[in-house]
Amino acid sequence: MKKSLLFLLVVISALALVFAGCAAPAEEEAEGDTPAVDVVKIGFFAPITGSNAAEGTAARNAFQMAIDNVNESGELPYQIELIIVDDQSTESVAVAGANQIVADELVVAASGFWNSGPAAAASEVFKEAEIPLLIWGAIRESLTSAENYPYITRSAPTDKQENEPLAEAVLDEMGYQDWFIVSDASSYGQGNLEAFTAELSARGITALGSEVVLEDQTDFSAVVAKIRESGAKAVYCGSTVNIGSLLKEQLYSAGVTDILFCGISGMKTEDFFKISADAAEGALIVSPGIILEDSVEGQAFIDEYTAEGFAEPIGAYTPYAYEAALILINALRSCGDAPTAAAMVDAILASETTGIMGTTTFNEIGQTTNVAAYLNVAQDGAWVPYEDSEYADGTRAFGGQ
Amino acid sequence: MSLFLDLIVSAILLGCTYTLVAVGFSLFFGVMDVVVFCCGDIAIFGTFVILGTYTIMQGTGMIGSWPLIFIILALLIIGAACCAALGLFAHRVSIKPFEKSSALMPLLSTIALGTVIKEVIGLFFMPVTNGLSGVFAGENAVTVVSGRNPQGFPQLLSINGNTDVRNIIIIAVTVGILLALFIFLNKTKTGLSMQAISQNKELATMTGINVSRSVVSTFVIGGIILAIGGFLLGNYQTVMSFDNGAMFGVKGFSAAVVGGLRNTWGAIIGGMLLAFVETFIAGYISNGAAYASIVAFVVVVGFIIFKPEGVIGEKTVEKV
Amino acid sequence: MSGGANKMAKEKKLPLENLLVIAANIIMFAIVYFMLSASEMVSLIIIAAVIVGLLLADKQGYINWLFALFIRHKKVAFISAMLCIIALPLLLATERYIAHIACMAVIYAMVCLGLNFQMGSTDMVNFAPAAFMGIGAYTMAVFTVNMGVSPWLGFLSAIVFSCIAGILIGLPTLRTKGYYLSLVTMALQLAFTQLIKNIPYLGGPNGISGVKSLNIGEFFFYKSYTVFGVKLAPQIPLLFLCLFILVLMVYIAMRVYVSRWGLSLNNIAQDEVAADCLGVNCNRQKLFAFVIGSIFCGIGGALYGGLASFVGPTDFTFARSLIFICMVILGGMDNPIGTVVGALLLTVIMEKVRSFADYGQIIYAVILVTVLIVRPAGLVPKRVRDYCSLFKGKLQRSGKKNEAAAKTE
Repeated sequence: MKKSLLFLLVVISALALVFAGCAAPAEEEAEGDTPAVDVVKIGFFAPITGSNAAEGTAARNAFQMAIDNVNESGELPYQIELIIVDDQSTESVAVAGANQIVADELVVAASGFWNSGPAAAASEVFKEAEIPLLIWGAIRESLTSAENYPYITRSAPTDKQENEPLAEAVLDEMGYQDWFIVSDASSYGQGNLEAFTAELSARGITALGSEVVLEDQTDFSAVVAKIRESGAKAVYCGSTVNIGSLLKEQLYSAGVTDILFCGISGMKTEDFFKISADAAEGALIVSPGIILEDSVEGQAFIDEYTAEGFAEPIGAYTPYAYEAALILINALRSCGDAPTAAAMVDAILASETTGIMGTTTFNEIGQTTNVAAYLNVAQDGAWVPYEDSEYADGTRAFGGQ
Repeated sequence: MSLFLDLIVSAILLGCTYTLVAVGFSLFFGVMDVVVFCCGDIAIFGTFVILGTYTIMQGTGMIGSWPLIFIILALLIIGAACCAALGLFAHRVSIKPFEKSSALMPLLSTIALGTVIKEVIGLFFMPVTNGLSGVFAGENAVTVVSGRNPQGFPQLLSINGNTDVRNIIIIAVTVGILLALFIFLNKTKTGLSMQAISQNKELATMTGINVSRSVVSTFVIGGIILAIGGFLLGNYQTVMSFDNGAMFGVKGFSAAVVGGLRNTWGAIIGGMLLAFVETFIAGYISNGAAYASIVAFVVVVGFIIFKPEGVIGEKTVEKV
Repeated sequence: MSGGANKMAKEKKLPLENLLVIAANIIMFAIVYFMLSASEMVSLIIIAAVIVGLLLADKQGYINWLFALFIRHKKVAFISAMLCIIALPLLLATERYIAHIACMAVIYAMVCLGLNFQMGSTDMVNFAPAAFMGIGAYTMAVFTVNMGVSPWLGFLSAIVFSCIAGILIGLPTLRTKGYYLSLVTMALQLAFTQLIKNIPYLGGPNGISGVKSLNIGEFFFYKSYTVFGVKLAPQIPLLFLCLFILVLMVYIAMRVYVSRWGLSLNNIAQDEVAADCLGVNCNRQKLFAFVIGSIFCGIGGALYGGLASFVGPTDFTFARSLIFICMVILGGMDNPIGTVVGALLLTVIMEKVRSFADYGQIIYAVILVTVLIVRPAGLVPKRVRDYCSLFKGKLQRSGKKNEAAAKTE
């Protein structure tokens, strides 16, 4: 037995040496890179498959477009390479993807996330690895906080910042008092529910009822019955397009038409119009950012995006993904020839980027100070900015007034 | 009061769709002694076939020029044929190979097959939808509707947006199908032999009943019922999603269990009971939608534990 | 005297067989290492080769031969396997992504081992392994984040809570079987996800972030340490721990398999009535299968919570449960080694085909149907219990003792 054990030890140690030999060159290569770099890597997360694929893919397109532009221009002394991770809107995949990104020594920063759950899960990895993460689409308020500072920053508004302008419009200007709130059981829905309820109670209004529905629910007859029973004049739907469009359709086909239907940017996709134009008519949606068509840079972005011929239309957060790329590029510029993750952390926070939606700077918890939002109305089967719509000039009127 | 009436109507309509799937479950279980778990997915597949056919019909201009009743019938026949064919396929790949093995094998394989059906719809439904959404949204809307997003279902049963007609049709069609099934099972030779197999397979074989032929006819009948169930569900929900099948299947199976597997009439009671529990929980409890399915499952588990033979089933004693 | 010559011959033969055992271990280890660390395409080719290789090897009877060989040279096999297992985290020391996948694979293997007690041994298909895993993970999260107590307390509570959950779910199964049992577990799984989403204390849909992993004093199992100037990936200590627990679990599972208890579980699977008649306490045994299974799942979940430092409801869904079922069936039901193989293969496939995530579910389903039809026994099928060699070994040993006793005399 002793003999065999000795033999075993010899074999194992030989094996270990072989593997060590395999591993060694890779390490050397990595060490040799520090002085001047040819390639800098940036991680990017988006839900490219799954139910949020349309938003995620459009954001990926826009982000890639911005990076390609700067690579082609040769303005930076190195090429930027993207590591694109499909987070599938799932936490465990996001964590694995985050590990994949931070494992690469050339990675200096990352950007991503449309869903708050995966963003929260991956934030832990980025914090631990001390690599900056710029969030472009996840709106849960707690993502940027003193605890996550300085590694986690966000260029998009939070759920609170998004609900504020909507509340001002429908509560203060239009004066709706009788509310029914519908949200879904996801973290997106819960965040919006809290934000809008806070807006209501700040004005001393108590909602007539509120209902949390399931994310994959398709039958809202009980909810519709409750809304009808409550006598609400306005419905707030804090959810994504899948639930929002169905609820609107089923309200319409149940004859509950004299009612304002408003909601948030999760519904602002063309998918909303898979229901008939009649049913969709009059939905009021708040959308983050500015009306792109109204600014030169915004229009240029739209033109460029259209010229590239992407299959996915521009979503509510696509400009934010583009803007995030611009912010990262801007931060890279200030880091010289050999940017490092540590330098990027400060560079992002100190950056002042004028992109397609105004100038972005970050506050003391890494949240953007550039907050803007505007209202959209579903009019004749398309989203129209509220200001330009026939609802603003009085030709048409919302229900429940 | 109006809430109460609204809920009753919703519950009955939902119950109708559950019932049809539950009847499908108990038919299959009766004849083959296996739970065909992909029932719900087969029904959804039928619905999507109907949806696709409708789009093509629309493209060729048939809609509008032909009488509505013909179109509905044609859609139903095509959907039922596809469901029946898919059912036979399911039998071929996920039930027949496991005739000799443990009863749980076909359960797993039909669940896996259901996933395949679901994913195939989600992945490949795309091209047809593009045309459809264009039709729905007016010409200038450029829409990319992935097969994974819910699809608008043509509202063929509601006239001028009036859903009362639709509701009456849904209930009437369900009752009609159940009556037809009753007559078929009790008055025709095929139906009687199906019942015989359900009661005692060996004895039925001995009396000269062609079991494999009965299996085929079961799948044809089941396919028709599932397709109609899916069509009614589409009209009731106004929107179909590719992954409706799994939940639909679980609910149908639960309804069948509550009614007593193997018992076609129990399935009706089971379906209605489940639908009423769900709708009223969702209607009367704040944020009830989230708890509706939990309570429905608690009811089912309660039945399994305390009355596994179902509401009107007979208690069977295991013979050794 | 002839006995002595025989013995001599045996000792001469030993090094060769020992060498084989060691070589087999090293080859397996190398395959695992390259499968984990190779790029997508290469890794998938290796996986395909492994699957084909396992099928061919089994056809020729090599797998059984290998098992017999390993059992004959238990000590060498064990030591060399342990050395290989220790070598794995060392080789992955700086590769945090690969180490993360390795950790996931090991944790999934634990859950699959737990599921195997119910599904493989007793033929009770439990559709809720992910829920049991979730119970473990959430217990860990609540104890370390919400209450802020020691992770060890959380870990122990995870075991206790999953044990209680196992009893609670196990009890109804005493009255039900077959489809009904499956439906009960399915209902549990679906209700679990909904329930978690609706309990604000558990973070609702937001989940709980900042879950702490285990630690010993100032030594944390999820933290990046610098050893000999090399910055280690933070998962490495945890990977050691997970591997250690997995080895322990495999050992327990194997012992259970050859024991009277494992035999009685199989007996129930074959025919419950017959088992009852033979004097097997069916209720106790079924409950045992549920409790030990859910404890394994709970431990897996607790470790997962520490690894991801985040738990959320979407990680413990029905779809995840189906993946675990698929792993067990692919690897081989009622064979702990097969179960681990299945978990490892599918985890790596899942990770390497992430760019085709749209096809993920369909890949599982097709694998499941194919395996069920073509090879229901799985890649590494259930072993026949060989009590003969066991007894022979005992007899020999006692024979040796007698001989030695005779010599001293």
